[in-house]
Amino acid sequence: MPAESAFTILFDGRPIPAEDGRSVAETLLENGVHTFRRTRNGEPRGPFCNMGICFECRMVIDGHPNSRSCMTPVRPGMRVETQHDSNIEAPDEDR
Amino acid sequence: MDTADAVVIGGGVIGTAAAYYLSETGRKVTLIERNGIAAGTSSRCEGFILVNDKMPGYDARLGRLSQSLFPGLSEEIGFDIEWSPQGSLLLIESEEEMAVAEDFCGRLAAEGLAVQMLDRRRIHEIEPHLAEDIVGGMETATDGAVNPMALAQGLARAAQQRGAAIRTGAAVRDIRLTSPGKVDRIITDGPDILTPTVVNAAGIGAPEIGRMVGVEIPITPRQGQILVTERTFGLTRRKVMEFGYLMTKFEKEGYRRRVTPEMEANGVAFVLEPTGAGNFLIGSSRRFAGFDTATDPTVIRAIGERAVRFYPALARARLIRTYAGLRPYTPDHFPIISPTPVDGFFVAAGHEGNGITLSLITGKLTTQMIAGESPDIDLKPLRLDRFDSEIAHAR
Amino acid sequence: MKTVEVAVIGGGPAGMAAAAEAARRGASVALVEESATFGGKVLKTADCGLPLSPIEGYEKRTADRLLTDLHRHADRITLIPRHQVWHIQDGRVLELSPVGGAPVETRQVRCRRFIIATGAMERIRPFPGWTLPGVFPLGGLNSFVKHGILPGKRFVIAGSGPLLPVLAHTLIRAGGRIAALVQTTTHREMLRHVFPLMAGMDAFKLFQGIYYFGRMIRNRVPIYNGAAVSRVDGEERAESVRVIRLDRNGDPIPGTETEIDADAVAVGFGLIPCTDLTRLCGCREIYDELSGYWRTLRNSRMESSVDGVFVAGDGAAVKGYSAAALEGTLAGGAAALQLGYGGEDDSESAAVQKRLKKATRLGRALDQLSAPSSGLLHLISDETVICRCEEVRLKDLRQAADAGARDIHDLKRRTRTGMGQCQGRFCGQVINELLWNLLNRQAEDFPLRDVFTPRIPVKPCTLQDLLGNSK
Repeated sequence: MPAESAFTILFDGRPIPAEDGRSVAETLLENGVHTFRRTRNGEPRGPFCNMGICFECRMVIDGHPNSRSCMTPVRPGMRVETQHDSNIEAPDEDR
Repeated sequence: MDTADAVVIGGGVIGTAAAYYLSETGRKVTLIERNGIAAGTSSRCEGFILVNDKMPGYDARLGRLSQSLFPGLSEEIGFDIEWSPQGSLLLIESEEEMAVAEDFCGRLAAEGLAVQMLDRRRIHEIEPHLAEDIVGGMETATDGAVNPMALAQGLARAAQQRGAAIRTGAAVRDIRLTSPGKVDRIITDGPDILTPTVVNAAGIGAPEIGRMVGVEIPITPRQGQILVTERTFGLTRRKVMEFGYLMTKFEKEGYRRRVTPEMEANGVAFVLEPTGAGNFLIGSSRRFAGFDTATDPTVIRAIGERAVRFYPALARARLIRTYAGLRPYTPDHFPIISPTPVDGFFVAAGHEGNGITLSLITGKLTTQMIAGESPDIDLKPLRLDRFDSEIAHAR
Repeated sequence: MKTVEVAVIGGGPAGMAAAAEAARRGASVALVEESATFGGKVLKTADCGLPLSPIEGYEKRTADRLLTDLHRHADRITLIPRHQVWHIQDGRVLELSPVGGAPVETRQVRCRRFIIATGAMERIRPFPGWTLPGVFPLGGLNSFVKHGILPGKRFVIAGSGPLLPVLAHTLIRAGGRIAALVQTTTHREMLRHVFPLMAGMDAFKLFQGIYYFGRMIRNRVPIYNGAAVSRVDGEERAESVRVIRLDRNGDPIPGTETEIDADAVAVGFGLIPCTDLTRLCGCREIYDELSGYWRTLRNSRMESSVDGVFVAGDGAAVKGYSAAALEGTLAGGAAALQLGYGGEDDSESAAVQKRLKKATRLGRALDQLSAPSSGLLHLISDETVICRCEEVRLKDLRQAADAGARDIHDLKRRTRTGMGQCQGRFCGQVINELLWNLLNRQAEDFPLRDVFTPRIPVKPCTLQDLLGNSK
């Protein structure tokens, strides 16, 4: 893997390795993360359709809630957080 | 052939409320609905229970009477109508509006309503996501919202438990009279119903039902479009509206909001409702478009643009659907809760955008009118014959 | 606003071929595609760092040929990738919004003819545990594995249809361990359908089938025929899978469950057309009981019941990429002909009609083979989530039906099923059958096939994307 295409992203505050050209969902699965979201009843959810239509894989990405991790390419320094549907916070710029 | 002491036509919030209160009197009630419960305007609207948009005087008193019936209803009927009493907020854009609002607020307060003005500092304190240039607001503590579909379903169920028959998917084909002019039976596409009393609570369909017995009812569908966001962060917990819209509604002379021609042409005014489910409903628009319930991009964009003007963060909210409802509009904006020249034929319809708020009091007043009891409020302003000259003129 | 003569929605095989053909005949074309690249779901090249298999080699050549054709007429084609259509106005203006943070390039495309080529989505059925992390539809998992991601150590793949062997093949190549391949199809059914299948097959498809099957045998993949996944258990993710045998009607046989250790599960039952846009446009469609989905009605030139609206590829009826490309060419040609550009009317060519007929026969045979039996719905328990977005469970639907819900719209109003972000795309697939079951009615005496009312935006989009950067 060429050095310039490998970088890290932050998942719930901890750095995990990522690679250019991958989606957030792919990167997390590759690193053994399976729960992307908690529903309002607290149930775990992970990615499902992997084509952007089911919205099950939504997470807080760079401060934006409800971002589809299967449709979002990773970028160096990206902050990804588990989404808790019972307590969605405002995007950074709206706080 | 079925029999009933009273038949209510229409399964929206008005019809189900009428059936609920009527069945309380021990009458044998049948509610007949051509589609499903809350299938019409009651599922294509917001769920506001408001007095903040009522004219001081009769309008406000009627609204407050109805509102006071909501807080205990879920318990009363054993069905969660999702009553949320978070209060409402009218947003004020300019000093010019502020002056009018202060006067308006004073007059509502004089009616005994729980209203108060909020200054610039205070409103931004309680509404951190509001656009910076908003100068103030008017808060109404008693205002709230319900889920209108749950309201109608709960009322229908409660009526049923009191012995009412709920017939959905059944259309009224005709209403037969005895001579001279007294309700006798309802012809449906199922069994006919022998009854001395009919309540026409068919909303935008009320004129069609009225024509079956030769009664003209001046109700016209007035379309409103609504945008629904996905579940997202708690942008606000209150029901929010722009005050400027009231100024237009009350026809404040010489006042014009600074809005685009598309907003003006479609009667667009900002309204925001946080729902129990966590979505936001964004409105509103007003136009006459017949029975058309399609939404269109011009109106959607105008509503969206107006919403972002008040809450810039809404720009980042994702829309998951839009829908259009048809308000039953009457020429003077007041509902019709009234007897008619046909003995036994009553009207409870024409609430325009106030149907959810006024549903319970309408059901109650209708029942009092039929039972011959003295009504909770004077019914004269709501009589059908107030339109007699207009109807004659239209002919 | 961008103005062209022909707008094509969907950059898969059908859309690419349609755009190329319309442009070849002289029309100006816009091609709108949701993802960043063209080629559609199936032909998108695998990227797991391994040399291409013969199948992938063929698919890559097909994709390359479509791309070459597209680029040959690049001067007349505007490509609009990373954009979705959220509305079609008055049948002539497409409303666009960007996808995944793409800059807004065009908000509206005005055209004189348009071609809908939106492809297919996966057919799925709810079962207990299907919401656990680690459970995917077949194609969803296949896309991950194609990109070299193995979201588990032991895989159970189940269901029916061509995606099942495709996924098995991808998994084997990527080094995934298949604990079980579970197919609803029995040997009996295979035999019953094998003749129509053979009749519809071209040599390559036949080779593909034999090749996949051979790989599975060689890798000793445990295969369960006439069986289905009855439930998945686990705390935070899939941990074990239960497989149940089906009788000849496709009904689960109680007491025949086997438990299998697995941490990743994929289930699917073939594909169904994405009909959001055709439905919005008011194109006439019929419910095809054999295929088990709504099919858009078209004439031999791929024109729908609405004048000037063409529908090509799997978005009308699922037949696979070869037929999709052929239909795209027909639609693109016919649209250009209507606009006065010259050339042959390909729909009158006997050779073309013969190829289409063959593809249609194959598609229908595969549809029938993959259509899930209604008996599978008996696996659903009261606690099973039906609407994933709103977490509506079977018991909620049951309660609403008991309270008098009379149709699927009534169920929606009472329970919020279908009101979430996926806009009813998943629960909408089973809601009719569930209602019949809940009301204890048979399909024969209650044949109502209803759909949730199409609403705009057809795909969710933010207000900012909808408003655009400029007025």
